[in-house]
Amino acid sequence: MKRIRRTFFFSSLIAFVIIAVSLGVFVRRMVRDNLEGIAESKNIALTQVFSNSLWPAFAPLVEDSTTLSPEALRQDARIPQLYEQVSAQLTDLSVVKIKVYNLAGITVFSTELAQIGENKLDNAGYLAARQGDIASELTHRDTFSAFEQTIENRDVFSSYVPIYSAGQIVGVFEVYDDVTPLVVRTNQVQGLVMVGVILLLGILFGFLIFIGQRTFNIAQEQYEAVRHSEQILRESEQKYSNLFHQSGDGIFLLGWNGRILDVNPRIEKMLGYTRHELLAINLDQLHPSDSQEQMQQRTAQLLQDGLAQFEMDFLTKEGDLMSAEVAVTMFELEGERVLQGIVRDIRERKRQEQALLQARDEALAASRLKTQLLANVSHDLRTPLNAILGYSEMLQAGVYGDISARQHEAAAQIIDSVGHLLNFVNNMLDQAHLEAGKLQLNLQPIALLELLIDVEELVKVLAEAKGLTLRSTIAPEMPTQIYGDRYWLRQILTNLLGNSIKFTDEGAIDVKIYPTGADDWVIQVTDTGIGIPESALKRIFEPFWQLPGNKHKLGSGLGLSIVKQLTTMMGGDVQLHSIEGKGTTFIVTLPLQPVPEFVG
Amino acid sequence: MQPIALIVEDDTKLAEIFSEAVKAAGFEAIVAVNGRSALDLLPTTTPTLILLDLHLPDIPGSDVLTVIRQEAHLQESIIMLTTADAWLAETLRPEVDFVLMKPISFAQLRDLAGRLRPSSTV
Repeated sequence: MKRIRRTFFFSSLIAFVIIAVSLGVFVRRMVRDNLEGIAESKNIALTQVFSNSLWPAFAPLVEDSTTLSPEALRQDARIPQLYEQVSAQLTDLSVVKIKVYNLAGITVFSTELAQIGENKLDNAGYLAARQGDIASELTHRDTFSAFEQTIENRDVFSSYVPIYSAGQIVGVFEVYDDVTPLVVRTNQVQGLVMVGVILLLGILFGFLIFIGQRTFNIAQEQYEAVRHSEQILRESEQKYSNLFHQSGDGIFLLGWNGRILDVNPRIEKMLGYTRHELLAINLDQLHPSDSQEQMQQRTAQLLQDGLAQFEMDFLTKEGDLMSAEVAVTMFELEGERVLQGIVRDIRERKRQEQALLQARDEALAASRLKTQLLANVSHDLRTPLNAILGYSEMLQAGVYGDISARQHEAAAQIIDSVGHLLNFVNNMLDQAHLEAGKLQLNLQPIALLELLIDVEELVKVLAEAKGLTLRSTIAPEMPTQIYGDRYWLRQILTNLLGNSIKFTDEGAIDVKIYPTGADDWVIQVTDTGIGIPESALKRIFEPFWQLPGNKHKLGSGLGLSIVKQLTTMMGGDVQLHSIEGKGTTFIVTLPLQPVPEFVG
Repeated sequence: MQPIALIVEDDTKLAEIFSEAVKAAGFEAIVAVNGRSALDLLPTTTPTLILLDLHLPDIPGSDVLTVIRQEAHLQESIIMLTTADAWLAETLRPEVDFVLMKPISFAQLRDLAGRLRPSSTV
């Protein structure tokens, strides 16, 4: 770009110099021609004046000159007279010398007397004039003899002019005109013109350079801009190229007709084909298991969203199926629609998913087995337990005859232990049900009083065995019947009461049932037991968790956990307040759904 | 004449406990050790109380229940289901008077039966 600028500058400069010089030469020639024309006209006019006024005086001498020797001519007595006449004529004129020649080329007269008698036959100017032409010449003379005196450094314009008499050339007149002032003035004018021309050209040149610079600057900016965008494009291409060649995912470019346009090295590795082979292959060969419908679905998705994502199986060269996740996007390349597919090998992921599913199924099966086992165990335990309980009670009741106080006590111990064991079995069964996810709420109208009596009957034996008082009240505002799951409500009550009895050695267990607001009701169980330490409150509802170091070890650790799980499932909440050594209050809040009572 | 309590129970020990409990409450106890013998007994017997085990070795207790419901002379009988299966018990609860979860306490059954004996109002 700099070189172009320099070239432009210098070539312009040279062009302008050539134009300036040419103009100078032209002006000089024109001025010179003009000057010479003026001078020549003047000399011609002078010659005419001479012919008219002085020729009669010169004519006899010219006539005689043909017969006189040069020396005789110089000595001729008429010469001084003629000189006087010429001098008089030329006073105040710029003419510095005149000469008169006869037709034989002899200088008949000259204001420089020494030249009289010289032969001019070899002078081209003279010869031209003798033929009727006018020959002129401008010369610069360092010294010049004029009227017997020497003048210096003059521009002299000399003309040979024919002298006519009665239409005949009778001689030649040579006149020397001192044109120095004219030349000086002309040179001045010429100089001024040249200065003007150079100035004008200079301005033009400056203007041209200015325009040129501006043009170059614009061109330079555009050039830089183009270069910049080219660089960005190059970088972008480089980035894409890196992405394409080094991507961990396979990338293929596809024509809209399904022809493979390009693939990256990863695709070659995945499918086992070389790029060359793939470019020659039909895409359908690579996924033979996909249905026409699937393909149409994907195309529709691509057209609608600009992106189609799906999983598909590729058939590798080895004949294996490769599960892949594919994301296809669409863009225009040189006016053609091109698809870009990114292929991720998900075989490993699939394997892991499969393994996970299998592990889950196995775990589920194991869980089912466990649940079934628990249910069977629980069920099969109940019957013998029922026998132990029944016979002990019958012994105690004297069905088989009177027994002693100690025997009565022993029977009571058996009954107490059976109670604990039953509680344990029940909880195991409930937990098994909960874990199996089998639990569904079976909502039906429940008479709360009946339910409460039922539960009391169940735990009364245990409470009485420990000498505890069991009190229960149902608030009068409580609806007689509510909707609920009888079995699970019973479990909640049984577990809460069982828990309180277990951890209370003396005092009472209070059960209160009452509504709170219009939407909830509460089962509140308060005991005077050992209480729960602060540190244990967080874990009290965890399955199988038991109070560390407690002496009432006989239990599953499931009772409260089941209460919590059931309460949550019913859309309720369980809270507890406890003071160590004083007792505990459990508050179970449940959504209230009263059964409408029909009057009459 | 004492009211009759029919005890349908395949476990003989439990059958004895239940029998003793209802006897203590003033009933005459008749025991059927399976479903078939229960069905044989039903047409000729009019028990005030029927204790029906749902897990019988030959036919399901629920089938026996259906027959009882169809017998005209048994419409006044009080039916108590005895079962270890709480789920089954809950589904049948609306159809019967009582559902007793095993283990059933001797005292509990004795007291309950005592309250239900018609002559107890005398």
